[in-house]
Amino acid sequence: MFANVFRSRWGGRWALMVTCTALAACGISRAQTTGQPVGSSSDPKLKQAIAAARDRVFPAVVSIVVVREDHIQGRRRLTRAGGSGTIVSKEGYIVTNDHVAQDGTRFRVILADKRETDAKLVGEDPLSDIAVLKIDPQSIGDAPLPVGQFGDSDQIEIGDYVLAIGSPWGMSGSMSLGIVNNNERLLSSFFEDDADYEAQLDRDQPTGSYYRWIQHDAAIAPGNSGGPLVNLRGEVIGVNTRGAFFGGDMAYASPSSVVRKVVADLVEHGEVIRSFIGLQFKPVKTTGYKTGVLINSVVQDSPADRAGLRPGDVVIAVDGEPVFVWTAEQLPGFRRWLSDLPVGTELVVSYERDGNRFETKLATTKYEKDVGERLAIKPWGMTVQDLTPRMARNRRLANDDGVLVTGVEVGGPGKDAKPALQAGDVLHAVAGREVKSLADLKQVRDALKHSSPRTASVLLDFEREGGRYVAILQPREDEEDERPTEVDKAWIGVEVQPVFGELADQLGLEGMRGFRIARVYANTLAAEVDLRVGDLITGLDGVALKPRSYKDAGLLQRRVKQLDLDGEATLTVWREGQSVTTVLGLQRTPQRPDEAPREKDRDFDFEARDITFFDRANKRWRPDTKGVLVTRVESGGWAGVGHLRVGDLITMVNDAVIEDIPTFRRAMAELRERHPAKVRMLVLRGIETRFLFIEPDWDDQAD
Amino acid sequence: MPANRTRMLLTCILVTVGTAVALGDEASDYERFRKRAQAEKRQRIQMLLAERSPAIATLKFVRKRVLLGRESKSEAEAPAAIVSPDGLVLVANSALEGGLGRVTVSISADLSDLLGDTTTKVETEDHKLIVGVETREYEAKLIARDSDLDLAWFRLADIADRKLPAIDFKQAEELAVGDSYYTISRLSESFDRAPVVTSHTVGGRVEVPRPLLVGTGGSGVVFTTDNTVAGFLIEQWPGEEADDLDDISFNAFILSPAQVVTAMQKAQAMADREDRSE
Repeated sequence: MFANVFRSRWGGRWALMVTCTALAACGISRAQTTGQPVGSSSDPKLKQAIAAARDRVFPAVVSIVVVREDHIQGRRRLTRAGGSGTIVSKEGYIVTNDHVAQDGTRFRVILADKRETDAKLVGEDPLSDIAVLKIDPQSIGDAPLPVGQFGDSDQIEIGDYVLAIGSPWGMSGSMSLGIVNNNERLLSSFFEDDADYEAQLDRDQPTGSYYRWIQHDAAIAPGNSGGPLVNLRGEVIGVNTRGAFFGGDMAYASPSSVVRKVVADLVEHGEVIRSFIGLQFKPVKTTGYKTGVLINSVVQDSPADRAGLRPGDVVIAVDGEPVFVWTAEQLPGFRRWLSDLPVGTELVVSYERDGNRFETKLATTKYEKDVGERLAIKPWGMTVQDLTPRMARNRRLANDDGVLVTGVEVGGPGKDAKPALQAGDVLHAVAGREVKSLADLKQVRDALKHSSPRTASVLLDFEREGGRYVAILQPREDEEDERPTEVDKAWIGVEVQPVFGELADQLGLEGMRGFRIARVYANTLAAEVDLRVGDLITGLDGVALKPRSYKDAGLLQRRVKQLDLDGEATLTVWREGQSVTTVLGLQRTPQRPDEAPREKDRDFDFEARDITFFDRANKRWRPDTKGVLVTRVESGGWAGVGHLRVGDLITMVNDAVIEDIPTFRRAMAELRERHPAKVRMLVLRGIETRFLFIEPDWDDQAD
Repeated sequence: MPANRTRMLLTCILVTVGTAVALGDEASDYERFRKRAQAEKRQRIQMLLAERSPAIATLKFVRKRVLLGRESKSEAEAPAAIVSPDGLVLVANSALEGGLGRVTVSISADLSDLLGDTTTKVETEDHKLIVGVETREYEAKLIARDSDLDLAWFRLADIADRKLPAIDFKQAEELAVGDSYYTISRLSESFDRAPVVTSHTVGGRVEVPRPLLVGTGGSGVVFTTDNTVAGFLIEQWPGEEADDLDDISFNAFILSPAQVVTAMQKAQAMADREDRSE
């Protein structure tokens, strides 16, 4: 049949086509099974290049664990967060993301070779999302620190191979391979108005407005933040900063051309000093203008405002240099050029208005911080933040005098004030003293704290939506432990199940009803009178017990609870075919977990309570098991960082044996007195003991 | 007209007129009775408000719920009864828990191993009592609880020498099925905490899990129609083996005055013992 196909003219051409296709397919298939396809990571040359790049930069990549102070609903919470970084100098400077270091109170750096040490924050720049930490090289030995080298991100091209190195989900020392998808990415799509781009950024902190991102597809995950994006020469060409929720492996890195300068500024000055002129721009692509850049908005009282520039003007030159911003991608570069000018630079701005050309002069001022310092005031049940000019403008306040309330605790003193304080209020005076800044507020707060007698109520003067109000706030003393105590009730130490109907028949107890003992608790009066599993309790104090369904399971204990605690109970028990009368004393219903004495340790940020009868019985602990049971751990507190967990039974703290809450309290008080650098706890977790080593920071004491 | 017919006619006329008069009297009697009953009811309710509502208070507090490690707080209020002039206050324990204190999220064993305790833990804190329509808030400390009887007691701080209006459960009466009863509640702060009387009926009785009358509604202290204390409304859970929410009935169960007194004595004895040991 195959020969006949070749004979006809069309059949011949068809057969040739099929044959060629088949041969080609075989060729590809062979390549896949025996050769190395181009571009695959198994390509020996590529593999070699990856290995070389890895070896150059890997040792310099660190994991960073941060204890962060979050302000949530008017309260301070310590949480633990993590990210990655790169050592960029032998002095120990580490570049990471600002959002990794943000609000951090403690930093721990773990090097690639597992050595670890504490780090200090050198400076942070939210606008570029870059921060610099520093470790003391001598704290981890004599060997010089491995250092990563910056490359030139301006030279990369779409399609270049890149490596992402860091600690995704906290798993350190991870590396992934991808390519550059776009080297001048703005985080907006063509569905959006480019003017909307800046509106999408945080109104108080427009991170990302001064550069374009490197978009790539090397897989990253939370934990990679702050880690390096590396080219095949082993150079750091970016800092991985963001991933995408949707859209697969889309990742974004801050380019090294920006990062390198930011790092230098942070190391030298502790901040990035930028010029500010007070203009928001719009590219001219859709405006009809053929040159220049359109002024979208002018900040009130800014250098541009004072120079007479207005929205709608088109800037066509600065100091004689023509300006042309056609697309949104060109805007960050132009903004960065302006912001990189030394503060105080005098500029001649040429602009067009209503078809006419004008010139004006202005001098740049310093770009002030976007957001202010925060503070949690626990006795007032609120969190506050210093106002910056930008924050004040965004909220249409007259100026940045005052302190912004950012959260008010439910049920706290701020909420109880009349009128209740709310997030968004601006404090202007406290206890009759003017408060223009957070520093002023701290002074007043400290004065009130140390006043004698202690101030029972505080007058607050605050602004809300254009109005000025006053309220009385009653600061809270230390929280009292209101442990609910259950009223004493009688109890017998057995667990039972109702027996009736078919179950009774199957047990050879035809026609009988009662409560079968399923468990006798050790060390109870029930155990002492030799009640046994399998006994059927048919009566209590002469009254027959006749459960009708399984819903009567609690009937026996309910009846017992009504008896006099100081009295006795007479049980009629059916055992081995005979009725037996057993008299036993009644004891108090065992303490419930929420009734057990407990202790909140504010230094280590965890809570523990005494063991109860049922803890011991249900966990089948030996009678001599003692300790305190952990019920709550703040993840960013000292105990949380030291890996103490809810459910742990603390049996020793350093050399102190912990038997109960009083001994625990004494042991913790001793720690507060001595301030040891390291605290050792022995805990029982499940069926195993564990040693935990906690390093408290005694200098960091919360309000 | 023959004399017999005249007599008959006169008799008919007399009977008719007499019946009309009699019926008219009966109608007037009924109307008088109705008006009298209404006046009496008005007077009873007004007296109840005047004499008893001062002892009906509002407990403000913060409810903290913890489920699967996540904590949420909310402000809440519960009706309260002042039960002694020196500041002992009675509240339904279920009003503190918000009805969710015993809810357990049921999940598979594997997940519960992973997630841990799935019981909703409810704690309350920052308790403050508002007496009547006053604006001052007294700090209130939880001193005892009887979860089985759904009762909780608080002691007020800082009342100094003040003698508070109180409800005495010892001067009480027992209700029976079919009786009407009143309860007094207070509206919210927005309505100046005005007291409101509602009227209900004892509609039935249960013996399991404990003997209780079942009312048709209301909350807090129960009063008879002649202003005598007759019990306290609680939430009664079916028993330890209630295995689905269909079992839970939120009828108004009435705890008898004797049960309240016994429980209160135990609670006070225990609280006094703890005070001494401190």
